[in-house]
Amino acid sequence: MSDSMLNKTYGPNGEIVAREVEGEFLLVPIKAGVGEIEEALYALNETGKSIWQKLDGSRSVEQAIQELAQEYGAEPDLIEEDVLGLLEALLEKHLLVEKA
Amino acid sequence: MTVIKSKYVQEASAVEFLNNLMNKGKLGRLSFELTRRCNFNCRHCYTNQPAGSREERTQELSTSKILSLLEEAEAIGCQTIQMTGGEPLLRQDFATIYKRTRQLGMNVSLSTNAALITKELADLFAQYPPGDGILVSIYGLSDEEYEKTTGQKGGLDKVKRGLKLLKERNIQVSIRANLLDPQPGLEQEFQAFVREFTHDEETPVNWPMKLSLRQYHDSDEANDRIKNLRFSGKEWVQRAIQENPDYFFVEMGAALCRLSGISGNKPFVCQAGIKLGAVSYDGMYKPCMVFGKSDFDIDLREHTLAEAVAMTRERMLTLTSQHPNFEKQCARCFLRANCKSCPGRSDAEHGKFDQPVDYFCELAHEEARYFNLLGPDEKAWEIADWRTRIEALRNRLVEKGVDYRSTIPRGEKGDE
Repeated sequence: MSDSMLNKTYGPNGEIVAREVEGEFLLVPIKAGVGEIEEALYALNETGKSIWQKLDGSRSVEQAIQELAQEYGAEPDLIEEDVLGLLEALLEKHLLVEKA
Repeated sequence: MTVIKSKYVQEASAVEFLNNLMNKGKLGRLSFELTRRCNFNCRHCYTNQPAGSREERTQELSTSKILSLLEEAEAIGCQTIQMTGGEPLLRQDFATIYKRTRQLGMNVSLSTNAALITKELADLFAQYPPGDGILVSIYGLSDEEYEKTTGQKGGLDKVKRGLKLLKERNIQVSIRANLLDPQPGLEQEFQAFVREFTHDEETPVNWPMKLSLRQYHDSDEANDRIKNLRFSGKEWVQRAIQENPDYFFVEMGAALCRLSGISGNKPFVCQAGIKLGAVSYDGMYKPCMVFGKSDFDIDLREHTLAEAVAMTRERMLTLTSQHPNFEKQCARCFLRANCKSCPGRSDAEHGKFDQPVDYFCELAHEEARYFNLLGPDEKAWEIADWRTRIEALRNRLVEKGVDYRSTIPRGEKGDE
């Protein structure tokens, strides 16, 4: 499953507002049907925040990994693990969806 | 926060996150009084103005000013906007204000009487859920009772229509029964109403309201009427226990165990102006919405919201009372946090923020007497062994299997 994800492009599902509050990077689903439950918020850690900002619907997962590897001076394999880990979590909560 | 499944993302309920934020001492919740006008004219109301009042409308904040204040609220990290009034749905621009708040990523907690909910508004709430709930106050269960309290014919029918529109769209609503004169037998009737018009199976009937005087000191006649509607302490307790004495014992007993203590000469014990703040219909920032005009007001035409929040916070943290009655009574009273007497209500009653309000004081004393925390003639500020008495009440609750730390008394959410 993960390999097939690499060539795909993902972006936020509907209207999700990203806010920074008191050092927390929050994703706030504001439309019905986004997120697992109503009245929930999602807080991303620093790694999660960087990945989220790349998964904006404008580049493939593979491109996001390459860019992050370059920006952080890290091995793409390590970055890939982080990106796919977060991607799966966000897809599970319907916060990200596949874009054409 | 509850960590689930992923090390990169944590999920929390909005309420949980708000509590976290406020526990750090941050202003998490801002009340926005969108208007003082109301489609109802309740006999007991401490604020309402006529729905069609042109004079009121001219004093209300413009749409653009409200939208810009909401952006400021987002920028300072506010998480929940409580939209209140008067009746907030009376504003023609309510949908614009509501949608913008959600689009800024803040939650809305809406207080309404539900009579003005249209299909369009219900659709909007379904599309953009408020995030922090819709609280509907109802003022009776019969047409007669509704009309007697609200001064409006057919009010209950409109409320039922509004609630039905919300229920059809699976929108969660909490109902608060604001009843002036709850009669025996009410509980069953109320639960049937809750089941018919919400998705809840059960909502406890509120105890009788504890009534504040007009916050803007604008009508002696209304104040006389409100005073006449007030129950004595004994009557209030009798009404509160008439339906369900066990519930009263658990909820009120737990609140007394959890909140009792001596707070000294700081007049604010509720975190108003620190974790909570309020913007009035005419653009004044204040510690809480209970205040009318007072010297706590900061004009948001002259200051940014961030400045007003910082100035108020600093004042709240250092404010003390030098009033002799406050020092003699409230400063030494172990019932203080359970008493409705507070700076805002003191201001409504006396025009000063730090004088005891005899009516609320009597209610708090009578509640305490019910739990044997006070003898018939004792005053709570004269009790040296109050800790021992509270300990005895804790033991009684524990014997009944009640965890007094986990119950949330309705009184904490306000009664009006």
